Amino acid sequence: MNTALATTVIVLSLAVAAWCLVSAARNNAATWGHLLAAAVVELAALVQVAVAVVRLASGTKPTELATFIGYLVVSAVVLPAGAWLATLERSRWGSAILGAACVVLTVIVLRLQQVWHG
Amino acid sequence: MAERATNTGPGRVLIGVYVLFAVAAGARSAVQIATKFHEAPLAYLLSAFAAVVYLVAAIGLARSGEGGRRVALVCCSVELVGVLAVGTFSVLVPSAFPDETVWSGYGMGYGFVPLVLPTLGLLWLRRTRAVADAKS
Repeated sequence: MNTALATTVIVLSLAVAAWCLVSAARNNAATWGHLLAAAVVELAALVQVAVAVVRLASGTKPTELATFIGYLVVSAVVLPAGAWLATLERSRWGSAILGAACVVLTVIVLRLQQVWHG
Repeated sequence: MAERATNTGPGRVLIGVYVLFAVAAGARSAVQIATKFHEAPLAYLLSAFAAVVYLVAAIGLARSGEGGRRVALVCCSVELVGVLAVGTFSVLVPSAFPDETVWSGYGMGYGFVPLVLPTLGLLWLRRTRAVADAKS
């Protein structure tokens, strides 16, 4: 896996998570700004998925292939799911959901790295 | 409306995390059961069971109402007892669990979320119930 790319996703994700959780703490609902920021993180996550798929297709395979693919799928869908829930919940808890989704994405990217390197 | 719905506000965060854990624990145990069941059958079955409880808890909270509330209460209680019992057991008799479960070490492998989640769930159920009592 590309470490620089993974680091980018993690840093962006943690930044957006911090913003969302601060907003939640200050009793603010998620705005279009939050969702746009989450969309940027999602874009980076999707680039990572694409890179991983190309690597898998070219023959490099981690030992726990099924687990790796599972994490890969979740890394692509966790932010859209969080954003959807956040738009349903127009309160501070919407921001909390989006922030939590970003934290989860961070953990998943870390796990992806671990599984890839065995 | 007698009581506050369990599927709004913080409840929605809880439901999100519950669904996530149902998927995470479920997918992981499915892979383990399919590929290396003989290594630690008890651990993998326990993880699969935990995944089902998480899913049912999420459904209970999401449906809200009297029935949903009761389902969620049972699930959260089972989880809390499960994580405390399995956690204690895995610390005392590590050989019983050759591989990790969601609940071993009090959910340490999952950042203690398995311990925090049912606690928050029970508090949330009590809180929404308290609103009902205050109104009646």
